[in-house]
Amino acid sequence: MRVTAAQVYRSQLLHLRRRRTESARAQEVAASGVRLLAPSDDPVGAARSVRVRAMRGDVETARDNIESVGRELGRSETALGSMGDVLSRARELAVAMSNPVASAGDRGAVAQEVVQLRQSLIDLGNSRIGDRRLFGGSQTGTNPFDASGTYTGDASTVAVGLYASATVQVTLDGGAVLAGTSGGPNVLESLDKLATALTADDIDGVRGELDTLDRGIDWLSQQRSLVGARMKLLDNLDNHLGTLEVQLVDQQSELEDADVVEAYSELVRTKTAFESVLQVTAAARGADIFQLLGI
Amino acid sequence: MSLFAILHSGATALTAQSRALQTTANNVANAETPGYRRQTTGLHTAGTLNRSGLLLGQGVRASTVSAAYDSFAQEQVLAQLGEEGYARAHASGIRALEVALAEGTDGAIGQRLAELFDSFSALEANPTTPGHRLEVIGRAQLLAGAFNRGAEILDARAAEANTAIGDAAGRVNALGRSVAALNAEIVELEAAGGEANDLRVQRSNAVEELSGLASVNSSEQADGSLTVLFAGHHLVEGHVARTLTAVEDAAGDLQLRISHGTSTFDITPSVGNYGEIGAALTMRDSVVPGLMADLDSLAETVAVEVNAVHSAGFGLDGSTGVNLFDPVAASGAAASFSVSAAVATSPDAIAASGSSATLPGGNTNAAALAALADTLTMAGGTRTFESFYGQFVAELGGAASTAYANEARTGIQLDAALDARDAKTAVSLEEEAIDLVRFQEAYQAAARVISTANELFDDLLSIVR
Repeated sequence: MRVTAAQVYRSQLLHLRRRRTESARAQEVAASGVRLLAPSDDPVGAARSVRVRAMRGDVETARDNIESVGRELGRSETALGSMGDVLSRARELAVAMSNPVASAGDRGAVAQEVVQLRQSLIDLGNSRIGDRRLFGGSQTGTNPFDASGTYTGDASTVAVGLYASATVQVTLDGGAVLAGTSGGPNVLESLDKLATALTADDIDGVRGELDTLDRGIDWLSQQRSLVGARMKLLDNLDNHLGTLEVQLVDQQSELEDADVVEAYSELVRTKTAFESVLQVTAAARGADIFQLLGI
Repeated sequence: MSLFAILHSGATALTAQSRALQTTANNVANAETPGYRRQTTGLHTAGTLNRSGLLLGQGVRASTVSAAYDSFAQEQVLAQLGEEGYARAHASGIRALEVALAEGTDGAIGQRLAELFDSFSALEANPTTPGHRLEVIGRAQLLAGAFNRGAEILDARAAEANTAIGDAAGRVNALGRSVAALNAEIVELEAAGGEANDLRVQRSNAVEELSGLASVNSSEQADGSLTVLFAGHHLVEGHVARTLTAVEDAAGDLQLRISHGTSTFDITPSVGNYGEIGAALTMRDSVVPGLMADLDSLAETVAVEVNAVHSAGFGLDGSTGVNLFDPVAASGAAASFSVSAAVATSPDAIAASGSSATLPGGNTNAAALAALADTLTMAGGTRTFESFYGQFVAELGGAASTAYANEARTGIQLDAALDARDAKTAVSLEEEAIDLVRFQEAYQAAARVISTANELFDDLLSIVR
């Protein structure tokens, strides 16, 4: 086959262009650290990358939610503990005052304390984080217990979905906790009755509340355990999500990032290839027939 | 008398060799001219004379100058030019599209969608905090921006392709006119005999350029003129060039037409996947609409599904039946996708609660909104938003990757076709150098013959004196 001058130069140009393009791409990958620069670099990988990124976002949001829900549950748990302490004190007083040894005057003084104890139960029932009330069901915007202890919240407790199908109940129904609306003891009413009995120096009346107070203490302890169990659930889920997050980060990196060693060796290889084409081009210029023929 | 014959033979040699040298010089001068075909001078004996029973030759004649030509190789080149022109223009268009749409692999739209649904999840855990409500609005607006931008990019690319078609039509006309003019000149020159080689090279180059624009068929007529068919319709016949016009249709898209007498032919459908015009048409009429349809489908379904859940819920301000996004029509959904005015300025209108009774702490509607991310809402109920978008990205990436591979492949094929043709027809400087030596020596020898004949004359005359 005849080889003509135009052909030789066209061929050299083609090779130069290709090596240059390869070299430029290797540089871009090495400099950016990313090998998936456009979907065409790895179409299937690009689609997977969309999925992995979305999952990472889900996990991050779930962990944020776990954190904020955890705070609320923690506050609720503390409040329930304090409520239990209040009732224990009330029971102590009731036992003491049901002893015939105590005087009417004593009972009158204790009545005052019981009223205070009732008030602190109401205050605890109005616990909140920020402006979110914890014991009002879905009525988180206003205090669920009014000054006299009437429950104005509702029974629709709020639950939050965390991850996959895991949900956790966040708010509590104050009415069920303190006002006996769902089968538990009505401790607010009980304290009210206790105070009345003490003021009236009614030993039988005082003794009559002991049972309710006992059940109240158990009930509050139960509620506290339930919240504690939810917090444990959050903890486990957070651990699991933490592990999952690490895996997802790895997956994303595998899909998108350039392997440092590979990128560098590619850089060197393409640079060498380009340089050798340049040398070939220069070397091919030597032979000139006109010179050789002396014309 | 025969001395004059010697002189005459020498003279013919000088003329012929100098013509041959002239051709060699022409070849060398045009060694790098694109499409140039190596010319050779045809040297023939200049007849015989009978001199008293002796048949003596009368020297040499440079009869014709002919150019090397291989019609099959040239056809291959034209075919490859069409394919390479298409592949190159197509790859370039898709490259720009891919980079702009996908924004790396961050996949702006996909990312924004995921972030919107994350904000719904966060709202579920914090239905009353203003900060989280503002976040929902912010993310919704970012998503709208991403959709709008995607539609804009696609429209811009289609508009660019449209402009390219108009520009190409202009070039086609200019080339058609020059082919027609060259036809006239060639016919005139060749009528007197011989081949108008250099003009033919110019004409052939014009046809090659046409091939890069769309599919071209050419056939040479008996009188030397070239009939050129462009996308199956006569563009040049003899010295007449028809005009290709680009006419805007109802949608503002340019359609290509050739007029033939009183009839006009719409040649747009017959351009096919050849040449830059073919690539521009594919981009404008097939690639962009396909991608736009996918984006519109995604945008419309997002708006419809989110609005359905959102309007069923209750905002902090007690409102219900409020859309989060403005309702959009299926066509142009991505371009007109926007956050509804009712929500944009009032975070309290965001419906996190499932009923008015559970305000303000209710979050079941926020949960329902978040759950849309995992619902099979796209592709006839078989894909989630994110998996639909993932497939969109993969298809775009696949189409782009194929386009780049074709670009590389056709580039190599074109080079191979050019090499095969040039092997037959291009100038080899080594050959020309040897020819220079050959003809120069022959010229020198002829000059020697003349000077010898001159000496013989002198000798003759000196006898007679």
